[in-house]
Amino acid sequence: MKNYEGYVTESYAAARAWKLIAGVFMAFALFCAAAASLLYGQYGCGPGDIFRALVSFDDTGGPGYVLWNLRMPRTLAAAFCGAALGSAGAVTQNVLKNPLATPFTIGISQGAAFGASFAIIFLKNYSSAASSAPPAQTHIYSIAFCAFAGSLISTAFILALSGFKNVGPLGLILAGVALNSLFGALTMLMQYFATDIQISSALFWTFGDVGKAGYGELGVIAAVFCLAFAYFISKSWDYNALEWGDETAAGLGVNVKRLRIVTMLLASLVSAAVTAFIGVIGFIGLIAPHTVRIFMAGDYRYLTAYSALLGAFTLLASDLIARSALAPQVLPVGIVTAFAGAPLFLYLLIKGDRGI
Amino acid sequence: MLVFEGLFFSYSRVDVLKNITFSAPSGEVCALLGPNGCGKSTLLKCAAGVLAPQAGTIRYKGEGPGGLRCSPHREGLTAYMPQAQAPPPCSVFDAVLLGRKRHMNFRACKRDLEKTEEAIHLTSISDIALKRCDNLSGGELQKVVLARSLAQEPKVLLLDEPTNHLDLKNQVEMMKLIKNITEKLNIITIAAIHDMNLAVKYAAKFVMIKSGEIFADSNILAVTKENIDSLYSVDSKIYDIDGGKIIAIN
Repeated sequence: MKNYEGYVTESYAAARAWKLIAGVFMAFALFCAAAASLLYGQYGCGPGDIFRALVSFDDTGGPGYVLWNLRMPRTLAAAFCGAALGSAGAVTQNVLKNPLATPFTIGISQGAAFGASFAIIFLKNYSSAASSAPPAQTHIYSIAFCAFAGSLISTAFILALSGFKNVGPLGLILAGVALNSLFGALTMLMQYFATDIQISSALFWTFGDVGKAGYGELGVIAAVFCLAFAYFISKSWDYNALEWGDETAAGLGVNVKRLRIVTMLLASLVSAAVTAFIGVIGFIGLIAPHTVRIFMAGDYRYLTAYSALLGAFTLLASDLIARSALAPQVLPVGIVTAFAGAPLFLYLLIKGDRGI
Repeated sequence: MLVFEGLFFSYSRVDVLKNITFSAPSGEVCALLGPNGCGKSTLLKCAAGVLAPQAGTIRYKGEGPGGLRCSPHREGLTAYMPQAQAPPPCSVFDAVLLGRKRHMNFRACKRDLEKTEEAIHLTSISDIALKRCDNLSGGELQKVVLARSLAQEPKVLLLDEPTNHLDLKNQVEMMKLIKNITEKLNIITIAAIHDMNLAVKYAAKFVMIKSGEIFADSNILAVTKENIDSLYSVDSKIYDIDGGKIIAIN
């Protein structure tokens, strides 16, 4: 074999180096956002007290209690949920060949909202005292369980469609639209016959808020995310092949059907877990992957991981805004992402050099 | 040698391939000829493992001792180049490196990079190696896809209309490249081609397919006025110029 001295490979390696640098930069930004989220708050103590409580693992005393029971679960929830939604959005857009696809587009969130409304209205899981008061712990779990079940109904339906009927990517999106409308109608029907307090409880649940989760819920979200993320990363080259079309991928030895089904199942599972415990948080699954795509092009060896990093950063930053914008009032982060997401997405759409 | 035996394929109830039997030798280009919808692409997809035929076998026999090996695509012996499509926004180098997919888990090892570099030089696309695929011209893109196929180190190269959408110069360049590589690497190349004159100039074997069945299967002797007229329902004329055939359509 002729020796070409690898000069093309060398310049390729040089061009790749800055992608790694960008990754390090994003990890650093995420670290800073997490630190800010832990240190900032309305409780009257300085960063020094919080830092001492952090390094001594001390959850007694004022700063320790605030850090380990309020800010730490909140920060972890924002990081994990952001990472989960960001990476799930990236791979869903790949396997459904639709830049606007996220697990939410195919009916997951409406399914979850339906489940939660069902638990609140039919199973009476609400506090009768005040609509916005936090419900009791048993209520949280039974609402989360019903929301999870609701989103799994959507997932199962979508998977059955793609598995048995061999519906294509466009068909899946249309099925998602149909599911969204169906669950929306069912939710409205239930609300029509509910009391005022039940309706406001159900509505309050749909506001995505990273402050809802405790360590137990966090464990569930983190476990599901890690499982899905490991699969997404291990299939990076399969996603790259699929970017060239089903036939090219199949010719390269990718089991296209299995890849599509397993990816959708895992992406739906993480979104279901997030939605069940946190509520509805939109736009992260769109904004994170598309921002990464504009700067990195579409290499899934980086795209999935960087979408997770950027998703986590975006949700943490949004939560900081939600906590500080109208302080001392704390807004649900879902409102901030919806506010920030719409104009940011329009900006990307106009500015982006690749058709979205 | 690649041997097709009694291949049947149907989409739901429509029979696309009926009892396809022929063989393609190494070291020369085998042209698949036939009108649109006759089953050329389906045949290539069956060989590439993209579609599974309902009956029949596709077997590969290498040089030297050793018998026929079933399902060469499963062993990664085939490389398939589908009809031209819109490319994703990745770099040319990454697109070629993708050909090493079967050998890579996550990281590309030294051999993967070497084979990629080799394929890039074989197709002379080193100047555009760091460009983005969605910024390339049609001719450049086809070369990139060919380079990816070569990076797979295939024994069988399956090309679906490799000169489609290319201008005259690029058509000739592409076919020359394909012929040179086939001879140099002594691989089996099967290409679906619509342009009869390109096929006659660069291919050594001609397999004509009509409505899913083998219509003719031979060397240049298969290219006759009668065969072409019947295959494409046209009125053609064949001229002998400088020892080569030129086909004109009235």
